[in-house]
Amino acid sequence: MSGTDENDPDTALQVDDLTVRYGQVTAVAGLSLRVPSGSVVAVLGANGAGKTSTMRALAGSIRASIDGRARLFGGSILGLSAHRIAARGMVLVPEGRQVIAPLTVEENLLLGGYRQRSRARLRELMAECHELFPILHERADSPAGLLSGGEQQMLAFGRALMSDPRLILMDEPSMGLAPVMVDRVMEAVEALHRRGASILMVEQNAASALQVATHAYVLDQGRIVCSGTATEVGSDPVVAQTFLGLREQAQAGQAAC
Amino acid sequence: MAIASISSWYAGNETLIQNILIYALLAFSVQVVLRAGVFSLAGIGFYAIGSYTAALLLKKGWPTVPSILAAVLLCILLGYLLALLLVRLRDLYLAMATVAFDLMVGVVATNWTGLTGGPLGVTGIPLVMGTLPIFLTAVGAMLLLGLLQRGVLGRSFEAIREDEPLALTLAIDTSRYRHFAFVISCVLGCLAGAYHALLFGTIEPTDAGFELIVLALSMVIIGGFRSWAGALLGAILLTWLPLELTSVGSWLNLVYGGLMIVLATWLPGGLLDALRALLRLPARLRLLLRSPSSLAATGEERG
Amino acid sequence: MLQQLINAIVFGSVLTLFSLGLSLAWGTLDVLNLAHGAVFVFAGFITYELTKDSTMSFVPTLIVASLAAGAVTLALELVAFRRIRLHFPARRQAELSMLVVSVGAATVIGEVVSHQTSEAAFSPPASAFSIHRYSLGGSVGITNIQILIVVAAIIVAVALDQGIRRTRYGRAIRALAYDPTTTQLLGVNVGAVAAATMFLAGALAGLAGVMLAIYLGGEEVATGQDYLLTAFAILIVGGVGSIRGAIVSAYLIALAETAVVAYGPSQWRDGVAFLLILVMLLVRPQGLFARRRFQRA
Repeated sequence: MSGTDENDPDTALQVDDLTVRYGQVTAVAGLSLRVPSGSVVAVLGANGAGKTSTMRALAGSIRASIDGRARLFGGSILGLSAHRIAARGMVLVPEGRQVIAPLTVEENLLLGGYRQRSRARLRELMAECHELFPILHERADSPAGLLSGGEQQMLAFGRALMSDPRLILMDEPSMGLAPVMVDRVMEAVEALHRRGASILMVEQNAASALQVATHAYVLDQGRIVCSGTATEVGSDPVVAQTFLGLREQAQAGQAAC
Repeated sequence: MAIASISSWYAGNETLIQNILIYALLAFSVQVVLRAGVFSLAGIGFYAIGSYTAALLLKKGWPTVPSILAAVLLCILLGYLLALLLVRLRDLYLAMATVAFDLMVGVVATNWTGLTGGPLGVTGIPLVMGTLPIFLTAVGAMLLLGLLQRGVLGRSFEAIREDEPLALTLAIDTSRYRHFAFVISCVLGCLAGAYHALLFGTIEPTDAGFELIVLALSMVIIGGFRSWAGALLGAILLTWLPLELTSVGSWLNLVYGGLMIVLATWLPGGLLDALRALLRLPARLRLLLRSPSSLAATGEERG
Repeated sequence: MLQQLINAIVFGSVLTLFSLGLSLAWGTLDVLNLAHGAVFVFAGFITYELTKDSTMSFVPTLIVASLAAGAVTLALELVAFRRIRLHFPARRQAELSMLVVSVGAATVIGEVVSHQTSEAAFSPPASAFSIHRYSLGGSVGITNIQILIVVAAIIVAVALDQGIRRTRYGRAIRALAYDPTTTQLLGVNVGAVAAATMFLAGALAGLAGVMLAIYLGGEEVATGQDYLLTAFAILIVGGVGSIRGAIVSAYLIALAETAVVAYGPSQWRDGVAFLLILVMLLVRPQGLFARRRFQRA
């Protein structure tokens, strides 16, 4: 797991010893993780485990003191402004979707493509978005604030896609959605993955996340307590019991942690 | 000997002291609302209303105390009405509306010639005011504002300023507190105006204009808006400095303006906060020497 | 009557140029810039300085003075507003601090100008711009500077309205007004957009300041405050942040004030704006032209 080779082409994101502190309070304590190129990595953990702080710190959108190292395709990103990190091909789909409510769906998507200078490329991306998420085409002219929660999540994904990212960070994409919509969201995550982006996702909904993830980490009180492939982590008895609520797997599974 | 020198100093500076006290009242009227998170500058309008009311009643032959009391009552009434009218406004909208109110008062004062004497203002007001009543009023105001800063009331104001929705969930009747602060502000502005008119004998309709708004706000911001002591400090500095710094002369406003920019950007607590920090410095240094990490861990922030 | 209408339209055009910048700064960045009037006068002062020895012709003067006004506002943004936004996360504290900074800046700019002009009204020489009057029959006429003001206002208003609605930068401004954090996550350099917006706001005030200095034949420091207060009324009537609202209400208020001066008790002219502010705030604080509002969670 400690592949710190600067130009390892197989690594999309390498995080070493990330620490995030708000004043005296430590939210993330020495977290390390690796997102292999082309993988879907899920970080699981309960409320307050430090998931959102991790994502915000990586995306450069936090007011806290940060230590450690993070390399995106070999280039160091910690401490850069959020817009510079976005320019390097990593985009965060923030917690709670955060669509720009007064702008139309189409304008939100165009904003996602803010750094695409070529109009032709923008049109291609827009077409791709509409293909993946037809609802965004149907409601192109309505204000984003009028969409349902699930539709807003699709818009947040589409908006991320518009920047043509190599790595997408997702902060609790299923939060606050109806169970049916959670499945749709996970399908969308898979679709974005098939399209070629690596994905780092934090989720409380471990069962759903493990269905689409290739690798998984378990975060507790700011530390990684367990890691492995999604299957390994999913079958670990402690994880199964604590996060998945699956009793029989808890008895049958192999310990990964 | 000492008493003699104090009294001679006092005789030489009585006007300065009177001015400081009056401006302190005006600064309090701005501070009391800002502290409660109410961006009202209506106190300056009430400065004008108070000065006209007291002066005109006095010239009609009313005795001093009833004239001032009548002005205060009128300001309470008008202040309460204005508070009811502006109850839905917050923040910048309220600031703008109250600035508009102040200037509207000026327009009325200039144009209602029959009542106010129009652009010429009011002259020949009997000089019935002495320093002592103003001093006592200022002390009373400080006590009141000090009380408002402490205890349940003070914490409620703070809660309203920092997070009004949260304050509401704590069962703080925010609009009652806001009204209360607003009316107090009006009364303090009113008293400052009335005393000024009765002390110096003239009123001009332009007295309470944009410049007075800027001056009152400068006092509060430069001194420190979180405490009455800051407002007092601001009033003293901005009344006294122009007399001391005659060599700087007309560039003084430039200094105020620059000071406001610097303080609002780097030191929102004003000079009072800077002074307190300076006084705490030795203690903090000792702490630092004993355990360097205890301080380093606090206050670190990434932009 | 026709002459009054022409006067009102010209006045409305100056007000439009002036208030668009103010509306932009408040609507996107929460800056109620009380220095806007001082910046406006500053541009008039630069015009006076550049033309008093008849060294510079009109168009370069217009450009230099507008850029200077933009630069002053940009300096405020870079020195103070940016830092305040970063360091005071509580919106109310940030708004108050920025308001105070702008009051301080108004004092500084006004003081510099009145020192340089010995506290008197200053007038660019007649040679700065030769004014022609075209007769429209009878006593009615229009001057070339009046035409220029109206044309400039129309061009700026249309360009700004369309720019905000349709361009990439315009989308970024509107997104920034709603949620700066997310906007930056999407790759928008929020600091640069804010700086550009403040520069534009100042330059628009400057443009209005230059034109008015030539049109009226002079300005003084107090001119800025008068315009600032009228502009408050325009923002409130039109709805803060609404470009079209600001344009429409600028002309409405110009008509109302012109009518009061021409046919009513002219000394109550200043009262029109204040009365409108109070009435609008009470009856319809979101402005006449406000659209659906989204509250951020």
